[in-house]
Amino acid sequence: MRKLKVAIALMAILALLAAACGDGEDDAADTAAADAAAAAAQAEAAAAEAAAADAQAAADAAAAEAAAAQAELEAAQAELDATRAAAEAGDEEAQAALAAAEEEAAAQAAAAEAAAEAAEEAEMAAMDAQKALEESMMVTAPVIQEAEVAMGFNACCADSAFWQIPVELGWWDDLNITIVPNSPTYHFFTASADAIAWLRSGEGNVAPGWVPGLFGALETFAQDIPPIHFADIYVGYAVLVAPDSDSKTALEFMDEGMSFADAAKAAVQQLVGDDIHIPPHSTQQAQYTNAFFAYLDEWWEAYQEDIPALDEEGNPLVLLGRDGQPLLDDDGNEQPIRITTNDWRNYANPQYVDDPTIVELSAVPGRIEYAMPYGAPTLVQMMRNGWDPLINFGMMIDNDPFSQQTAIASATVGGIGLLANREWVEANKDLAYRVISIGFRTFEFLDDPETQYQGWEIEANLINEKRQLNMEPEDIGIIWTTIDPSFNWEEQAALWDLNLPSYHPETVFRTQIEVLKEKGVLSSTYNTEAGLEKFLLAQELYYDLKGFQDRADDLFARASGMDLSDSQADLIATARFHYDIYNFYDALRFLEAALIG
Amino acid sequence: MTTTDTDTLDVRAAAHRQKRRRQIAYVLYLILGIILSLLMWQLVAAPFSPLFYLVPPPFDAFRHFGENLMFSERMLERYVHACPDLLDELELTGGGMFDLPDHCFGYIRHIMRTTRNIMIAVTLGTVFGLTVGLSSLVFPRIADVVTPIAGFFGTTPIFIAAPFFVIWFGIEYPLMTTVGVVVFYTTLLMYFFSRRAADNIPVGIIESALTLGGDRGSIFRWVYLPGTIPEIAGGFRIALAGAWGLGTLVEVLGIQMGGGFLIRMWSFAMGVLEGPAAVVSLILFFGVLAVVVDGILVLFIRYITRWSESGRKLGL
Repeated sequence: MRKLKVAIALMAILALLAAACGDGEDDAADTAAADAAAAAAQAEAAAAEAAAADAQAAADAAAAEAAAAQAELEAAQAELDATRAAAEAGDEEAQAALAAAEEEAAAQAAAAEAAAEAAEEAEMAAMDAQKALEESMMVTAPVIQEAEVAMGFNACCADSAFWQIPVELGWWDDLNITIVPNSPTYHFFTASADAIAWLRSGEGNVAPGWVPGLFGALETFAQDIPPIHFADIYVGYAVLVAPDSDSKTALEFMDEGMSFADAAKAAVQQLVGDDIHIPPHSTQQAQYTNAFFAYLDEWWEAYQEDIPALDEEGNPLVLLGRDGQPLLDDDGNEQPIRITTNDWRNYANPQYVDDPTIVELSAVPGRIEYAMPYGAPTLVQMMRNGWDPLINFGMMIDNDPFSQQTAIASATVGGIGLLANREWVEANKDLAYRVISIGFRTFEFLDDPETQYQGWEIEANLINEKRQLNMEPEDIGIIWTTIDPSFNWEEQAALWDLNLPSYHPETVFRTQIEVLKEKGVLSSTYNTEAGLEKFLLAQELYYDLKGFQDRADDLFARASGMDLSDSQADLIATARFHYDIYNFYDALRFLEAALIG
Repeated sequence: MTTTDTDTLDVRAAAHRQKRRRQIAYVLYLILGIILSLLMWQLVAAPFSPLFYLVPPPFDAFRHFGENLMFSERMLERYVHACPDLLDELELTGGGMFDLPDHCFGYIRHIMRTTRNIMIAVTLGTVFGLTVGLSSLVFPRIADVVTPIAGFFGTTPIFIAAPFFVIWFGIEYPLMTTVGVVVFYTTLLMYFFSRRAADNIPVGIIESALTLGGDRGSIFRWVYLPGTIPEIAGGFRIALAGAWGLGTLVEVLGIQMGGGFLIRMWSFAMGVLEGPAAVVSLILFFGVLAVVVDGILVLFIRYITRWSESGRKLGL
């Protein structure tokens, strides 16, 4: 036993030393500490098991000794009986022997009784040791506290309406979360901007919102409601042309033999001086339309100034070719991406009406000719009604991927993020992790060919109800696959790792913030890097979750080689469930409870 | 001078003093009411209020309105202007929008446009409604034809009719939409008020006129017209009060100019710092404008109906 205890102590010391001698990073230290604790707990259980085995052996020996004493007692009793019979026959010698035998039998009986008592005590000790062993193997399940999350959204679009799926499938119950204040459903807004005041007031905890729409408020309140999750990138921007219009689309011009650049210029030229029906919130997101108008020659002839598009090290972003190398101009120089202060509204007349009104107006032939709805459902429905894209991002990416115009488009796109009240996140990080996990679980559901139709149907029903549209489930599928691709859990890694090819919010947002600085919306001294680092809370939370996932993977591997008690096995099964639904935070908690205690 | 004369003078002076006291008390209570309203508003907008982020403090709203009345930097940033005619004359090249005069980006032109459209619409609607309504008093067959149709459209909620006008006539022609909706509403209202005013004239008066040899024309001129004007004037006030809200609502639905248009543009920026202040200030402005116009109207109606008891009591 003493050797065992020494061994345990040594193991614990070695484990702690390993933790202390790590590279200083928190995760490594945490992992080492967890490993040490796990090793210590495992050794403790082994010690308890050994103690129980020792006690059982002692009990067995005592029982054997008692049995021998009992046998001796029985033999003495038999001899006594024989002697007593002889004595009764009148033999004096036998009388004397009887007296001696009776004394011996009494002594034997006393010894047997003592042996039985000793055996009983040993048995009790063995039972105590066994109980101690069982207690050491017993683990307590962590609790996922019941909680309320105030969540709402504007069910305008597929990339916000997807939150309806977890409600209808009861996934919030898995996390003991109740959605308030309109439980069991969400608080629905009629305009996405309404969510901002709701979150700022603290009345709301989380709500999806257009992330680039907050940049203009980075110096005031945007840092109070940062994104904690990035859902998608919207690439569906398109100027639509009415079915009865004589205008030609860029693709139609291409069919006449033009290059795409010329076709796009000819298509956009038709818009000059004309009305484009566009939602009012486009006033804060004009950059997408600018990418189309940048095909006009006059776009580059009359503008106020260039806005630097920079990478994370402050170097100018340049046009890249198919091989990823910088494209050179005729003089052999690299070509920086040119974003200017010019604005499409210098060339065409915006008519500000919201998406549902655009659909209504488009239903009257001849009422409007050009429209640029910002909501994907509106876009899809109008296309189904015969409206064609005069030009859109998809055409540019397919036919003109290495141009300034496509670079402008790529440098200015954005998407929906899950905005959250920062104070709430700081006070309830566990809830934030769980809410984010629901997002990833939903994206997996929408990516799975076997389940995605159900998800599309849920979304279409909600959008039709809230926006008076007539979407089919397949329309939602088109949105997710071609207009509004989402970032599932696996794709999040590339989103945040600048070394991996992907859309990088940091880079794109940096450019957009610089544009706002040039336009005077943000002060020229605003520290873009520091501001972005603080604002992108989603990045921090993603890496937290990734850390939980990695540690959970380690513990799962460790558990697979262990002899587990029933309670441990139950906890690990629960951990596996949470792991599979991207709730890595609770998965790790259950694993640690099972293996470390 | 007799004792009676002195008493009479005293009584008259006392009556004057009493009247002056009442007037001063009225003004004091009015000021007290305004101050209490502002205090309540300030409380609702205080940092501890749950509506803090949605309701701006009163002076923020006043300041916003004052700062943006003649020129609005925020409207310029959004390329929102009120000078489409001037813009057509400018060459649409980079920065062309910035060549517009400052007042094109102020609230003033939008507000003036709304006010003008509503006044035109109410005037037209009143003329149409009264013409038909009063004509029907002279020619009852007109009432037989018009009343069922007016009754049908009168039951149509105007908030349903308004989007219809926007979709039908489009957003490019405010004269057809903003004015159209308000004319539609005012015409119906004035028709019904003129009919009801005539119905409220006691039959005995008409019979007396007949016994005195009155014919259709003279009874209209000397009985119906003076007898209905005070009640019609009250209806006109109601129609005008509704027209402010209705005209602005139509602009909110899609028209590209006017106070309602500004409210719509700002409503999409409610989360932005100035959004609530802008929306509240514009709503407040139209409320004040409606009260001021109504006050002027009361003075005018009281003057032209001073012979009538109901006319004198108007506005009390």
